[in-house]
Amino acid sequence: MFDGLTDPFSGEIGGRALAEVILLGLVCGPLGAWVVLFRQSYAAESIAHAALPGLVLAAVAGLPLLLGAAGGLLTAAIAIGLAGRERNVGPDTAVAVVVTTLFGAGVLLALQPEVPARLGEILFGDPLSVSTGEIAATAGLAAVVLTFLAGFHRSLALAGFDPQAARSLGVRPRSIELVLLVLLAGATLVAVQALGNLLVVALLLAPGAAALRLNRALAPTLALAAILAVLAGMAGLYASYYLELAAGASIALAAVVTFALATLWPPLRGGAARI
Amino acid sequence: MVRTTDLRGGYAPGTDAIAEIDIEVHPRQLVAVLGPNGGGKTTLFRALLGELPHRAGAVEIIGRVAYVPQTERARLDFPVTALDVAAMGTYADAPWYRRLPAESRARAVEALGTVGLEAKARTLFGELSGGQRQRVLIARALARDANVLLLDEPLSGLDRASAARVGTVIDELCASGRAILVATHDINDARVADRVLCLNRKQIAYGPPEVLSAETLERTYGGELITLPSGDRAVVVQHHTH
Repeated sequence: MFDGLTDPFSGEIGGRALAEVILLGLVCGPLGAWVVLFRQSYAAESIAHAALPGLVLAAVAGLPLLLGAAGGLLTAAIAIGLAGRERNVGPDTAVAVVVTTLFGAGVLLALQPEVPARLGEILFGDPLSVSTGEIAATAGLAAVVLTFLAGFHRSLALAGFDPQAARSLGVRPRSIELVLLVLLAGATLVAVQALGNLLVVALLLAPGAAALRLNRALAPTLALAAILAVLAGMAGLYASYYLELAAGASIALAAVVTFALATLWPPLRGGAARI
Repeated sequence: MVRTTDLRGGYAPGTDAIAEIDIEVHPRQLVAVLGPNGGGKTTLFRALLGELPHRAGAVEIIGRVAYVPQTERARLDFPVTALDVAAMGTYADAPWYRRLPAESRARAVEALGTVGLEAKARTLFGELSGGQRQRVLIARALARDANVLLLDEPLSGLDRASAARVGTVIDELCASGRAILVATHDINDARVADRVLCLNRKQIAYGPPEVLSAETLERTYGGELITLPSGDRAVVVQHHTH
């Protein structure tokens, strides 16, 4: 029984994958809960998709995917900023237009014959292929994101709960939202390697949304989101090992299952059903 | 405690959402800010808070000012308790990277006690009644140690009993030495205030409730005002755009 639990992680590849999903779970769980609370789930999906052209170009050039994703996100941020400045173009429209354009451009690039056969890895990720350096990058990001989330906890709570009154209480809600989006972009950058451009959103949002249904207080909710995300990551690796499924997709499915199970639980408070 | 001289301003340069505001509010005074939707009530509050992007004229406030939003717009799905919300009024006590001092939490508990909700401290904000939520938001302003309170339609959406309880809390806070400005649509509420400010993108009138003449109300509300057949009551028909 015990061997069955440890077998998937006994080798070097499995051990590295386990370390990666634990670190990603610790980051994506609580960060995702904040993203859901700030009603920024669309932004989370958009940020991930906007990175695609950069990822493909990095694959063509043989550069680290992390570098490509960073370039893609920077391009998206500039394009959204410029489009949003246009009169009669709201921020939502700017995001929709830019992200769809970039995603389409990314797919076109990916279908060119000279692109190495890494499209699957780019779109769906592969936690079993992460290197020690990538785990170190994830650990560094985890430290930064968790430090910021802890430090900004009060400001996030106030800006998310009551942006109308936040400024009069000493918190600038737009700055706090910007901090959250920067952290989200950072987490997406690092998680893309393991979970891919399409599936990263699942680990970012599903455990956080599930925890918000299951818990009543903010701090325990954030802790529960981290636990659920780590468990989803581990469950995905078990499924991948024993059922011979793609690891990234298995983790994404496990994350969604946490939310599906949470919806079966009776809501603990009146407003929870809307999350 | 609050004095404005020819206060004007808005959200874009050259387009004043409020103008010619000349008011003086003293401690223990309750001021009803009366006006139609879009008349500038919330804009005036933002100007007093220093949050209006474009502002001209003079604003002089002695003490600390706090804004209490409409409870109808509060997030009910946010996992925070009544005490968490009241404690938000003390967040400025410590920089973002430091823990809040114990006395801040104590002040939040005391503020909840002042509005009669100490027993509900651990209840989720979303599980409170509308009137209780409004009182929690008032407690948050008290925890901030504010001596000028700006209440944005605090009785909006409340049943009669809850509105009466919130009204009592407002009266008690006023009696304790605070200056309170209350944005309201209800002309009858305004008649019992110490001062009334009639606002429709500019100051129409400011003074004791006696300023609420038929002509002033007509200029404030225009076509939104209906005088009931008895002639002694006027009601406002609100055209909500949201």
